[in-house]
Amino acid sequence: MEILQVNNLTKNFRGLTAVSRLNFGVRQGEILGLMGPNGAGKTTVINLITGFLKPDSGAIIWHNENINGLKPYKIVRRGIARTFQQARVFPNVSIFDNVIVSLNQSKRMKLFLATDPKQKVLDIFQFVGLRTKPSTPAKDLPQDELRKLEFARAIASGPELILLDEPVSGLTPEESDSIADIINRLNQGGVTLIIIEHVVRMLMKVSHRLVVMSSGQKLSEGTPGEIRQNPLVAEAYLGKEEEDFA
Amino acid sequence: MVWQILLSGLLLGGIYALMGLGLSLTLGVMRIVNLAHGVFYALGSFVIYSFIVQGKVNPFIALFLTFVIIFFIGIVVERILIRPVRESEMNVMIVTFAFAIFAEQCIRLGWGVMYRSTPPFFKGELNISHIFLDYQRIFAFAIGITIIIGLVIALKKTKLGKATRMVQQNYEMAMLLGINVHLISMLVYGLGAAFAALAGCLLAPLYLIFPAMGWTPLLTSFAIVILGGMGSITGTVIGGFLFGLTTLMTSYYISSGMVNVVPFLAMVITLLIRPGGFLGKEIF
Amino acid sequence: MTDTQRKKQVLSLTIGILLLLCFVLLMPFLFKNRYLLHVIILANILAVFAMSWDMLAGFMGQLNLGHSMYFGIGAYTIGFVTKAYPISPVLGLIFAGLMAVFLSSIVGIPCLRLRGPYYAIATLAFSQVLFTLAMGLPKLTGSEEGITNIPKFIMGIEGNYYFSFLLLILTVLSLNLLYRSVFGKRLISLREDERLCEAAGIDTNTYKILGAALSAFIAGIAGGYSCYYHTNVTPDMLSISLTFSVVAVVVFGGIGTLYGAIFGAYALTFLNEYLYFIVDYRLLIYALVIIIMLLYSSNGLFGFFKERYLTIGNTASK
Repeated sequence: MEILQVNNLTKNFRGLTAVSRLNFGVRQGEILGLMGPNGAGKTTVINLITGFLKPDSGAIIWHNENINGLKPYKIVRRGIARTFQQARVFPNVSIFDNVIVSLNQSKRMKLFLATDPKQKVLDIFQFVGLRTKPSTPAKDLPQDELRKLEFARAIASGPELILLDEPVSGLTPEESDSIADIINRLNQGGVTLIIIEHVVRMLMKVSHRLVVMSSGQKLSEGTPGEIRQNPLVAEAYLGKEEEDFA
Repeated sequence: MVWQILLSGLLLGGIYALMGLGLSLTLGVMRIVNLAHGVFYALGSFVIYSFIVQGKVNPFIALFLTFVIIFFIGIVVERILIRPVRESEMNVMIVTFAFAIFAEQCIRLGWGVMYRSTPPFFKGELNISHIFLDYQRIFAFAIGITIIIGLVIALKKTKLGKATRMVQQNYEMAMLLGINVHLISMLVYGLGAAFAALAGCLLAPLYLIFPAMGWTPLLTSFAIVILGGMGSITGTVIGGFLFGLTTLMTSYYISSGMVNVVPFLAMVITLLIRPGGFLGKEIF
Repeated sequence: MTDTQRKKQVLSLTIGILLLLCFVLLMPFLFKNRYLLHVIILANILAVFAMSWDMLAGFMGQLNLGHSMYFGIGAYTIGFVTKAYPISPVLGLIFAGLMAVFLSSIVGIPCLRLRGPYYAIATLAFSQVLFTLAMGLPKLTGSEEGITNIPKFIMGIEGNYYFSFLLLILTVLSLNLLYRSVFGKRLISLREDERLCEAAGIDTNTYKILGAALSAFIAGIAGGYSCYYHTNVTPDMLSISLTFSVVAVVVFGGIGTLYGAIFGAYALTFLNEYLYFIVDYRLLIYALVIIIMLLYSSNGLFGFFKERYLTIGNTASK
C-alpha cells in the first residue's frame, strides 16, 4: 500500500530546473533508495516533501491528503521526519534537550513505548547508540555522535516515514555499517524510510527498491538487482564520480 | 499649491535619499545593522553648528570639515567597536546602539539639551510663478544629488568602487581574491557616517537641533532602505524621494506632530507585505 | 560530577538561599535606612523588567529594542484605570500585564516573519510611535508631565519593599520553571536554529507569540507596579533610554543567564543612586559598560559562572 505519492512534481530555481515532473510512490514498510549523481535534485525532493520548499507544480499525497505547501512543522506532525545532510543540532543546548523538544507523544510509532518523556528520550538514545552523557551541550559532540543525534531527533517526532539526506556521506565503512544497522532496526520496527545517497554501495545493500534520478527527472525505478544491470544508470554516473558506483 | 508641495517634497527627498544611501551602504556592503546611523546625523548637525555659530567659520568650509571629521569618526568606530564583534549580528546591533546612546549623551553634555537653530547657507527664495522654494533647500538638494551621482560613478568606475561592489556581492570570494575587505569596511562605514552627517548639516538650518534628534532619521533611513530594497541604490534613492514627499505632505495636510508616525506606518506595512522591499532583494 | 558532590551542592545552595531570604526579610528592621530600602525597590523593579527582556533576547534570541513600550503601557494602564475607576491593585496589575500582552500581539504578529535586524528596527519603531503619542496627546496622557496623583497601592516603604521582593521571587520562580519545562526549552531552541525547530515539529510562530506575550506580561506588571510606587507615569517609561538601561543591565550581568539580569539591575541601580554625582553621566556610563562588556567578555559578568551550577537558564546543564 502506497502511503506517499509524488505526482508530477516540478521545481525551478531562477531558470534552472531542479526537479521535473517527478513521479514515484513509497509503500508502507519499505526502504526506498533515492539515488543519482550530484545535482540530480535529490535534496530538493526532500525539501519539497517536507515543506521547506514549495513546488511549482505537482502534488505530494500523504495518506490521501495533499500536503503540498504545508509548513514544515505541520508535515512533521503528520508523521514525516527528515535528517539533514550536515547534521543540524541546537548547539548551546544539551543533547537531551535537543531530542526532548522534538518529542511528539503520538501513538504512531510502536518502537518506544515508555510514556514518561524522559525515559522515552533515553530509550531513543540507547536505540541509536548514543553514548555521550545526556547533559552534554550538542556543540561538544564528535561527528559520528552528531549523526546519531540527528537520527534521535528525527525519531523523537514519532514519524511513520523518515527521509534521510545522505546519512553516510563522509563516514568510514564501519561507521557506515552502524548507520545501516540503525536503519534496518527502524525498518523492522515499522518505520518506512526514504534514503538519499549518491554513494551507491550502501544504498544497494539496504534498500528494498530504488528510484534513480538524473538532472531532475526520474531515470529508472526497480529493485537493486534491476538497477545494477540497467545501462542507463551506469551512464548517468559516468563522467561524474566513478567511485560512487563501486 | 500642489506643485509647491511636490517640488518641496522632492527637494527634501534628495537629502533623505542621501541619508538612506549611507545606511544602504553599510547594510549592503558590510551586512551589518548600524544603529548608530542616526547619531551621526545628529553629530553632523551639532558639529557644523559649532563651526558656524560658535566658531564663525565660513559655512561651506564648515560643511566640508564636518564631512571629513565625521568620516574619520566613522572609521574609528568601525575599527574599534564593530570589527571585534562582526560575527554576531546581535552584538553588532547592541554595540552600535550603545555607541548611539554614548554619542547622544556626549552631545547633551557638550551642548546642552536646549533646542538650537543654525543659520541657513543661503537666504531668500526662488519664485517661479508663485511657487516658493528656499535657496537653502535647493542648495541642499544640489549637494545631495551631486554626492549621490559621485557615489554611483565611484562605484562603477574606480578600482575601489569595483572592489566594494565585489565585497557586497560575495564577501568570502572577495577576501579570497585578495581584496582588502577590512579597509573597504572601514571606508564604507566612514562614508555611511559622513553621508548621515552631511544630511544633518544640510537639514540643520531647516529644523531645530537637539541631542536626541538622531532616532527619527535612523528609523526613517531604515524605512527608506527597506522600502527601496537593500543594496539597491536606485531603490534607496527612489525610496528617499518618496519619503521626502510623504513627510512634507503629512506636515501640510495632517499635522507636523504626526510627521514621525506616518513613515513608520509605511515601513511597518512594507515589512508586512514585502520584507525584501519593493525594489530590491533582501540580504539577511 | 558524582551524586554526593551534587547533593552537597544542592544542600549548600538551599542553605545559602534560606540565609539570603532571612536577610531580606529582616533587612528593614536591621537597617533603619529608608533610602536604602527605596533603592532596593527600584533595583527589584528593574530586575523584573530586565528578566523579561532577557527572556526575549537571551533565551529566545529576539533582540527587542522597544521593550520599554510594554513597561510603559503597563504604567499608563494603571494611570488611566485608577483615575477613572477604583480598582483593586492586584487586579490592576494583572490588567496592566494583560494590556502589555495585547500590545505584544499587535506588535508581534506583523513582526513574525522578521529576522533579527528587521525585528529590532520594527520594535524600535513601534516604541517610538508610542513615545510620540504619549508626548503628543496632552489631553490623554498629560504629555511630558504624565499622569500624577495616582492612589498609592501599599502604604509605607516597608510594605513596598516586601512586595517588590514578592514580584522578584515570583518572576524568578516562574521563569525557572519555564526554562526547565519542555515548552521553555522549545522557546530556547528558537534562538538556536529556527529552521531546525520547524523540522522538529515546533510551530515557531505560535511559540514566538506566546513567548513574547509572557515576556510582555512580566514587563507590564513591572511597569504597573512602578506606576503605583512612584504614583505617577511619564513618557520616560516608554523611552529608548529605558530600553537601553535594561539592555545595559542584562549585557552587564550576562545575557541568557536569568540571574545575570538581577545582578546587573542591582549593580547599575546602586551605582546610579549612590554615586549621585554621576547622574548626568548615567547613560554614558551604561553605554561604556556595554561596549566594554561586549568587546572583552560577551557573556557578561555572570557568564563567567556559566559552567557552574548557578545558572539555570543554560539548559546544557540539563
